[in-house]
Amino acid sequence: MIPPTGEYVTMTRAPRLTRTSEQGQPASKHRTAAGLAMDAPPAAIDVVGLTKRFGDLVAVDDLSMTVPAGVVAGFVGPNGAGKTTTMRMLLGLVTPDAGTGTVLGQPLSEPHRFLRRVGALIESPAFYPSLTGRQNLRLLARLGGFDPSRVDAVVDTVGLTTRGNDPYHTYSLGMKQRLGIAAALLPQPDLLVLDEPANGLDPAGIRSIRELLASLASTGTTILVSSHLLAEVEALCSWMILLNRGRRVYQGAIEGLGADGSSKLLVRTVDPGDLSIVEHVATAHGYTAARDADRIIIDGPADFGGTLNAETMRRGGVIRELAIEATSLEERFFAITSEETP
Amino acid sequence: MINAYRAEWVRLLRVRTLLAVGIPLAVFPAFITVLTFAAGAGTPAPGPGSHLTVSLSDLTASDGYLVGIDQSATVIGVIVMVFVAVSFGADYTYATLRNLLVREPRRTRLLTGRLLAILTFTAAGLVLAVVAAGAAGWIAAASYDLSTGAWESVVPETIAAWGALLAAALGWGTVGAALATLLRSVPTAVAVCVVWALPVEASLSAAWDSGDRWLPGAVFNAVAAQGTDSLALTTAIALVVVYAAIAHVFTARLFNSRDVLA
Repeated sequence: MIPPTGEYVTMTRAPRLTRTSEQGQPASKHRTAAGLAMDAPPAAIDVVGLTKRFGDLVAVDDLSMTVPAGVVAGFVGPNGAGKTTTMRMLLGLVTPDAGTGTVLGQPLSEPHRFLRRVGALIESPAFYPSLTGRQNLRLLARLGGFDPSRVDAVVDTVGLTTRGNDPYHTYSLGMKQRLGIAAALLPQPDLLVLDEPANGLDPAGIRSIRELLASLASTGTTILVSSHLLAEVEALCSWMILLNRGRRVYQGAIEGLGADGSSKLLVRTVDPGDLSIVEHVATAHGYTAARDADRIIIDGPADFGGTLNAETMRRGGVIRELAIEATSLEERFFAITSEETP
Repeated sequence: MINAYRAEWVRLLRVRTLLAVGIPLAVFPAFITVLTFAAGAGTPAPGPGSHLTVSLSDLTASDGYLVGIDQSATVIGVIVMVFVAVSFGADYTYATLRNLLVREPRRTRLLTGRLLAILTFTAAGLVLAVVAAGAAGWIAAASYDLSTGAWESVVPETIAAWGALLAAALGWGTVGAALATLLRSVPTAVAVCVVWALPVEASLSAAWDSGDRWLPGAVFNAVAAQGTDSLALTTAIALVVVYAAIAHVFTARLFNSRDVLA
């Protein structure tokens, strides 16, 4: 079960908006290492204080995050936010300078205990160019001690059946990406870590990957997926972790990211002169209002519409049109990351 | 480690790899053998100031047909070292290391299993080298009408030559793996392998009297030659084991300590 909670964290670590509802939680709920109150089952990923420096650059800065088991979690952030470095730390490829945690209930510091149940595609797919797709997968299957029959199964799953015996260097970018996903599926993973899986895929490929991930999620596989395609993240993910400059700025249910009133009210009045009344009412309630030709745009929650209408009427104005425009994930993403950037 | 060993064979048992390693290991010793017979057949014994190191008496000795192996030991060693360096360096070139480490995160096991597979493959390649050199020796002896009466214990002599080459390959191979892991680049690793094994070692040997007894390449060659005047076989084997152990521990520590960012 996905906790319908979310948590914003500012760069100074003081909570700016805390949506984690901790009061009144049933006794059966537990707290993860990352401090998130959750229902059972335990988190697939639960890390605290992860830090990685490269010289003077702090790539990941005291990152704590939790991915509940069974969710599809979006891992988003601007370029250089630390997503790939975090994923590499989760996979044992990069050693954290600080921090602890668990992956699939096993210590992060002992990756051999959990990686047999983890599939991963990090950055661009990387295979031996002169080996065929199937040979590359056979090598990885042997190395992981997986059933050799998994090779044909995953090749079929990603739609490479007819090209599986061709050398990897003859593959298109999309086919290479599919092979990378096939490699990630070899272990029949409980946790799938995918870094930009839609890179290089055409719209049909993106759609098939979305369907594949949805299908895996329906079987209980936890998926952590980073993507620049925020619409894809919105369509696919139920959980979201937002990074900026190595720090977590949001973690929680994806609905929670927009449930802070991040919507716009577009208002027109019968008499354009009444727009000043609307503007006054909005600013009196602490919302930003801006004129845009014959209308006013108010950054405020949808439920402010009723109050706005009533108070405008009380002051003698008449609203002709009041439209509510929900802020897209992309707008919320930019709003949050720009707020956090000095 | 067994999984790493088995997995590496997917790469090794390719026609391209078989040809890339098999052809030089077969052709070069055979070619050197023919040249050695051509030069030594008419030389009863090297005279003062002669640059020849092989004489008629060497060619007609019990292991005379394998004389080309001794003469080509350095080049065989360089071929082995380059092959191992290319095998390990390719993972940095193609960024395949991250895939391997996700499937086998115990890095020392991955490294050791792969190295053992490559050395096993090399052992088979060295069989080819010894057989090709031996066959070339028999053919050359017949063509120069040399006496082969002393060439009686062919099997034990051939096995001994192969075993000596394999022991030397252990040294060359572990050094190749260390250079590839240190430099993380196939071209750089190959260049360093070749430059070190040929001009650098030769220059050091010329400048340092005891170089023949301590320099790695000289020690590996002494093992391949089943001992030399300056280095007994048992001492040379012991030194190869020490050098190989140092190289492998160095590689493992480096491999374990580094982040994989490519």
